[in-house]
Amino acid sequence: MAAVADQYEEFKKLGVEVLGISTDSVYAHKVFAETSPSAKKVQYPLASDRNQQISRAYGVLDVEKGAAYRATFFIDPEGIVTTKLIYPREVGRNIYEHIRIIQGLQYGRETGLGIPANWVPGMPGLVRDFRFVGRI
Amino acid sequence: MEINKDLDKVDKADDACQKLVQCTKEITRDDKAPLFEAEAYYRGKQVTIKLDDYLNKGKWVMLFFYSSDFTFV
Repeated sequence: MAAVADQYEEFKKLGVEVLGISTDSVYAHKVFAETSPSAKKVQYPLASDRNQQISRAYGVLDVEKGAAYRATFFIDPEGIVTTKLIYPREVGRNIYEHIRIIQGLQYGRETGLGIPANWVPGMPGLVRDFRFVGRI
Repeated sequence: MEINKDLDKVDKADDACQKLVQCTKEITRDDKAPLFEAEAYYRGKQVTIKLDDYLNKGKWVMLFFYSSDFTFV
């Protein structure tokens, strides 16, 4: 959460709105944001999914705990879920990879090129052509 | 091929749940994102967030779910 806050400007530059969601109430969110050193940094909205409907609809509700999994979705401006990431209980997110995925999606859409493994901005994309099948 | 791919996308969008309570399908990649409205805390205020509002502005949206306030997130 603080890790996302640290990279918030980068997300903004890429035209990405950030929204954090948990099944806590907005009252809990308020006190959390006011008191937790890491949550104090948060510049984006924290939404309350108190009736768990959003988490359920997105398939990330832990029904035993009544809480959401650690999960990230990237939704494109047409409203399509391009990416669904579900993280382990024990491991936090890689925010740099989150940024890279968005950059890759946007670069791929601008150029029509494929985005190879470990691509980062500045590297070329891949021409998707049947002639190249078996040659790469 | 490209046309078929686009048609496929439209079909999936029509199938997706557009009202959360009626949503029985688990959302995955390439599905239409279920639209929602939620109360949120934002810069000291209580606000209502609509996913639609972001999309109408031509924005990408990063939704990140976490288990609980006051814990390791």
